[in-house]
Amino acid sequence: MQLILVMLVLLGTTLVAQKNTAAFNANDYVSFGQKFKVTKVLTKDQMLKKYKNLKKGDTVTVQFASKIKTVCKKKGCWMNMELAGDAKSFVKFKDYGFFVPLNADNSDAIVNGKAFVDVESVESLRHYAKDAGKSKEEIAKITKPETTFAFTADGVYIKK
Amino acid sequence: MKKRITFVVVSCFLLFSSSAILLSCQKKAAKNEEVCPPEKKGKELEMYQMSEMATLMEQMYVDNLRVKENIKKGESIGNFSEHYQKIFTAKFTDESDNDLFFSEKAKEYIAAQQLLYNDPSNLRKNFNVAVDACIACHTEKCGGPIPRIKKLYIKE
Repeated sequence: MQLILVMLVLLGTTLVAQKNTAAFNANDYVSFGQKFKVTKVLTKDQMLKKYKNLKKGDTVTVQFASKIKTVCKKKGCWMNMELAGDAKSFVKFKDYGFFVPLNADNSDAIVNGKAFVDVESVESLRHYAKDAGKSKEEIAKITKPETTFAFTADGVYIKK
Repeated sequence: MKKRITFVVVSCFLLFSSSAILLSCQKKAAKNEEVCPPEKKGKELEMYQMSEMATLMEQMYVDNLRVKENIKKGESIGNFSEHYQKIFTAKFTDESDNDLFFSEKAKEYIAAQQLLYNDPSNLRKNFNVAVDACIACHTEKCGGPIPRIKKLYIKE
């Protein structure tokens, strides 16, 4: 009986290890910013839970994978990543040191960096709305600061 | 009977393990084929091309890093860089940002830079005033580079 248990555990471990190594292949991605080792990548659901547990001032170093919702259309200097439901993470790049492609919308991506909760001023929100190509009417509707799930990425992998 | 059960279990284990390994190798081989396709896959990624103004800003950042280091070491900072005057004529990434607010802030920035070179007795203070001028404009126009610009400050 013990022998059977040991074998089952070994088999399980083998299968899990194979699944993890097969999950990420660097050749499938284009790298921006600093390259990083893909270790523990959170899903968009796990990332939202993580954000919900953060208080203002908390910072957590993390990797998560999701789809890019929108990209700054002027320079590619920020992007929104999907989280569970309608939530999104507002991703900027460390020290303005690199940009992502202007047409990266809807691409799958993995980001590595620091997540925190931030409050964006009305001026900043309007600026980002302009960058995103929103109309004057849409920009004028922004009248309140917004709490955002912010992320400063030092590296981004975008799926080819 | 017990031996028989053990034999069957061991045989199943070996068979299943080798199948799993074989399957994994096949997947990897298939994946490698995907990785190096003869034709391009996915969409062509479109990167931002720096405008004259963005290039000038990057140049000014590098210049100011050098000036900061020279001030900290007590070395000469040279003369005011005349190419900074391009701030009034360089092409913007988005021409709608070239407004009255920007031209006022650009004048203040150039004045702060000139003061830095004309008043060598207050280098640290004047340098930080010039950095303040960068941030005052970026706060309104483009907040992205602010964390990087803040690193220019010389701590008293």
